[in-house]
Amino acid sequence: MIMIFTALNCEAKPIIRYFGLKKDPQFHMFQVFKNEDIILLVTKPGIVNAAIGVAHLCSVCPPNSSDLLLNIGICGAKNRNMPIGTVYLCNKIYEMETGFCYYPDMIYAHPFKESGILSSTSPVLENSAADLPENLADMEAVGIYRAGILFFQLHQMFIVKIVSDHLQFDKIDSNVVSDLIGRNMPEIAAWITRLHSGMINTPPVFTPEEENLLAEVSKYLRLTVSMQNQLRQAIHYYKLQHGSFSAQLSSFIQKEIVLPVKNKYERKKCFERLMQEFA
Amino acid sequence: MNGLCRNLLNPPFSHIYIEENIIDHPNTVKIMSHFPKSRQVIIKHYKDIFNRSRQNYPLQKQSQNLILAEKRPPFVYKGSPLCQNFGNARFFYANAAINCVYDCEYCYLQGMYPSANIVVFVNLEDIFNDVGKLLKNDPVYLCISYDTDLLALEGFLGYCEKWMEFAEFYPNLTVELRTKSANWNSLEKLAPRENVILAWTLSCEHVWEKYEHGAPSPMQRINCIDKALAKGFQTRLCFDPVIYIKGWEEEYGRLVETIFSKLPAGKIKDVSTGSFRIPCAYLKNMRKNKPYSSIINYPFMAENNVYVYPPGLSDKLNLYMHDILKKHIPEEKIFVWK
Repeated sequence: MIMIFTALNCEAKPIIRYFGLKKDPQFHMFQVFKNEDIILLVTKPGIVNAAIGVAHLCSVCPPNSSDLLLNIGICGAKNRNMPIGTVYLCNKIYEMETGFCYYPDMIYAHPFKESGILSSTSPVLENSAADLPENLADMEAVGIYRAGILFFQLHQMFIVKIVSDHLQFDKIDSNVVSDLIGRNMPEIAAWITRLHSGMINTPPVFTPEEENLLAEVSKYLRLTVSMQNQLRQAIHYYKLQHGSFSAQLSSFIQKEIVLPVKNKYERKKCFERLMQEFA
Repeated sequence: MNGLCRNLLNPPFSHIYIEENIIDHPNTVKIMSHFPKSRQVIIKHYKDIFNRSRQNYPLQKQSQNLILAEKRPPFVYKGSPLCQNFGNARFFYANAAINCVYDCEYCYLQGMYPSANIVVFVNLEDIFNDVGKLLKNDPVYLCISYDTDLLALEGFLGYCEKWMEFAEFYPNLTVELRTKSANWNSLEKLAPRENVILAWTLSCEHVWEKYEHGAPSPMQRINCIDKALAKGFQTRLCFDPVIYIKGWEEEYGRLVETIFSKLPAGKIKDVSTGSFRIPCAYLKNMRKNKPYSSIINYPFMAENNVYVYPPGLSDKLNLYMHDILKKHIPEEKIFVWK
């Protein structure tokens, strides 16, 4: 699943249209749109709203290790040589109120420019541009990042910003915003879907059936937690060496006439035989 | 654990993070000149990047970035009891860089640090000053390439050369440079020093092939050692860690035979060997990152917060290595970790 977060309806509109998302009526506090692979939530503007939106969606639909978080939105640029409509992937997020910096992991290739971004609770205006420590400014990135990090690993989160103005907050028009996002959607969508399809989800070493078998053995032998850990590690290694352990463990259970064990002495002896079997 | 297909990742060192206070340091400028295409990101402190929570170590290892930072005190550390001190009482180590370009599955660095990115401390002069102070009293045995492989980074770092120049002025300093590199191009430019030991870690063919991703083959290392011996470098061979694998006796026996058929044993300064051991906390982290690695998922025994092979096996590995080495090297030159 790709989880997309936007602050404004006008930012969400072209994304909803591009992916053919449908409104999910089960969400009442936020507007949520989805299809099979993508879910989008409109957070409303501001750092706190952004953090609440991410935390809410991730609590309702907990992401797994192959899911991605994508924030798409507009931003202001302090330099005139950063043209309106340019897409940036943020490699640094400066939190205006605290002075703390956060760094998304830059380990994937992408077709965009990169920049740091300043995130603040109130709009940054043109007359303070010279003092800004970063080239871009927005009002959500740090909220998205700080809430997202509770649910995702660093490499799963992306802050993508499109320059909409040069810190002239009053000149932003919702139709222009939709147009800026819409124009860049094919490139952003192609990149994120390719990345998502390339995520490899490594399954756990033990299958559910093997977990059940291990639990059964632990129950029969009345193993202590420490013994369970020792057995688990020995069988883990055995499986990596031989590919499977189920047949051998099942036959051990069948041939052990003392099972279930009746006292600590029986347990100790039986456990030693079992560990010997998988040594 | 999850990952990404390799072709989606950035090439190594695509990004270089630089602490704001060392941007103009000569070493920073020199290192940056080797990476004109890398993106620079200015940071306050290297730990803001290196110690972030929720990093994916195995994935970062496939697309390592570089962090240039200032080393703050302490500059020199006391040697770990898990490391061989070769009979030196005043055993220290210094880390002018953290992390390695090679991806060895059994390496403790993966369990020690939260990030696979490479940190280079550019203020080498501060480390030198501190070592100088230590040398005022007694001789010092200093390992400079434990938490990294300096020779593998020498192409853009040049720290091996600087350490050798430094060591020349301090006869009571013995420097050990541990490496798996076969970077002869860098070594051949350097002049051998009596008090600088080049120590090569050597692994059998099977361990290299299956578990030492990206590291030079045993034969490449042997060829490099051969050239180093011919040029007069003080050279140490480290069969450490010895790893328990199927057919380990044949594998390590073949390795030792190959080495001494190619290298002049008389020129080798000394040899160390020791079975695999690792602090429990590190191994737990490594197992989380690599649940499918058989080498680190061996059911080790915990002894004083250190995972080791069961006593019988550990002794067997050490004894066997000692026996096959003493056929080629005088016993007083063989150091076995126990």
